Amino acid sequence: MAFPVDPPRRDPAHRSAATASSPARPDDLPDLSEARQVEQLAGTKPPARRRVRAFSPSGQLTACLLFLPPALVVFTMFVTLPVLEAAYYSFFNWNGYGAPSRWVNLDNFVRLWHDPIFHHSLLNNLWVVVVSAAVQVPLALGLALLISDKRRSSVMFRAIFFLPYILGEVVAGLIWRYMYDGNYGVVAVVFRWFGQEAPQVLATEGWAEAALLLVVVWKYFGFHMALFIAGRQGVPDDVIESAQIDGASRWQTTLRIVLPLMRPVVVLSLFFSLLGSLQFFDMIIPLTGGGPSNSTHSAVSYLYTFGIQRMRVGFGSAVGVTLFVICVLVMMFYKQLFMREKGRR
Amino acid sequence: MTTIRSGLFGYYRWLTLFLAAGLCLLPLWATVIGGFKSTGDLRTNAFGLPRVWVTENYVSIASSPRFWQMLGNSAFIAFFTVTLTLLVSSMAAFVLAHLRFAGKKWIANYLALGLTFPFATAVLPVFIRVRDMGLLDTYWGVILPQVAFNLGFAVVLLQGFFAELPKELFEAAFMDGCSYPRIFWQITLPLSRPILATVGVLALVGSWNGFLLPLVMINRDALYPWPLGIMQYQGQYGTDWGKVLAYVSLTLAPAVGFYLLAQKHIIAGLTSGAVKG
Repeated sequence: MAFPVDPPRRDPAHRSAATASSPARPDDLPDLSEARQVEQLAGTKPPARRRVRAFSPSGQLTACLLFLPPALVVFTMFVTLPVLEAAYYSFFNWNGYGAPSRWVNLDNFVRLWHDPIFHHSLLNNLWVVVVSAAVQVPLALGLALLISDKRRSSVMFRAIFFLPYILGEVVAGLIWRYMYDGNYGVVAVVFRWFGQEAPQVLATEGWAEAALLLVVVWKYFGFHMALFIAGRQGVPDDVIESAQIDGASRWQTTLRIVLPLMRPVVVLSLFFSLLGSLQFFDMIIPLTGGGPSNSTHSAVSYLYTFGIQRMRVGFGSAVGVTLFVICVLVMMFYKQLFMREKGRR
Repeated sequence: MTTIRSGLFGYYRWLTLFLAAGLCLLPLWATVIGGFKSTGDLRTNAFGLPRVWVTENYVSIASSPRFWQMLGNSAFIAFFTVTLTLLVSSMAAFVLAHLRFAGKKWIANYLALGLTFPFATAVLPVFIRVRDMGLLDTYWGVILPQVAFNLGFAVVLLQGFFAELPKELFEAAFMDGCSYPRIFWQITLPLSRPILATVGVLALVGSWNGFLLPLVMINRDALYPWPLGIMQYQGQYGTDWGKVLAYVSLTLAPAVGFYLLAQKHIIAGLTSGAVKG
């Protein structure tokens, strides 16, 4: 077996995972300037005059001019400006050639607002979040608690559960398309056990959405499990030991001590589900392509199908802007509600 | 850890774990083994070993130059995305972590904006921009936007790590007349291997598996990275599953191999990166 034997905590990268999510860690690192002031006050550092000379302003300027522009230029060109342009284009009816000239006010947004396919797509996005919260989190958390120790077998199971996460979404989609194929895959086999003819799951409305959600859980539960393992390892052992000395059973320790301490990690895990749901796309195309009758679109695959594929730049941009606004609102709302104690940088 | 393991709990624990692992691996097993089966075999025997081992699917794909070209395209794109992401973001993070100047906070927050929204929201304007730059149907049309959208998390992660490095080192280097670029190259970067690995893995996995961006930017078959190539292959052979599954298995191989080699670091990198980002 190619799996490493030594306990994962010894690895510095892993430890940072464990400590980063532990609730006790102060997330805000002291500001450099502040630290320097403290050092100066304490007299532990060379006097300021020498350092002023050392950190010469001209050297700083050169460094800034040398090091900052690449990031700023690339970021501005391919992230900031496109978002602003999307906002601009969304008021036009434009096929992408020449300059946008047909100003249509809010028509694109109005059309979007009244499109039942778009509503259904957003509903599917919501379903991803619901299934994450109701199925994926309990599953991942339960498994994480079973294998958060350092035994060799636990490390091996961890590797297995994480495996689907590193596979490409497209590959995962194709694999499951085969699994769901009513003539060949697992569905066909199961139905034949009962002497039935298998349905074409991916071609049946209602079933297709559910099938998609199952693949989401299969693909992503390992990632959330790894988050929970890092979180579980951040729970100090002595707290658990003292609970056990006080006579707490395994269940009581888990329910009353471990899980409450892991609350921030659960909050974080759901945050990633939200984020993932809002960009959910890659797997839909190989699995269902959005069908049957557009019932398995997500917001992004809707944007791809009705904006990009048909080169309706204005309409597609309106979808993008809507998605952007939803994103920002959801993130702000979620952070306000659940992540306040975390104090983001 | 001192957990007392009662017999019954241990039994259920193993049962649960093996069941979960089985469900997790079953699709992959069916895929790899499916590539060795004839169509008739696939129809009646989805999970067992093939009755007759058909190696033709695997051999014909592995010996086609198209397949290797596609993996090469992906490797090229991933290599430059990772390298440029690391270089550009660590340079910016270095300045933001070690220097004091007006507007520093603004710049840091500006770059961190990249964390708040998915790439898809801006994909159409990015497409127009890339087209107007004449980069459509080139590797760079994929690489540059990928780098740009990596900058948000990369700078945040790197800046946090750089700020924690001992300042005495830099001061000593300054006393010895070391310039900023040299400090960056010879002190900061070598000390930051763990975080560079984390950011690198995140960028690598994202780029290697990326689908939407190449789908929008690349139309020429010869430039297809593997996610596009595999979709094209599937479109061509439809439900000739033996062929498609063999193709899928072969494209899985590099990722799975890499994963098995560096499994511990990859899990740690992907989760800790996510946690901090």
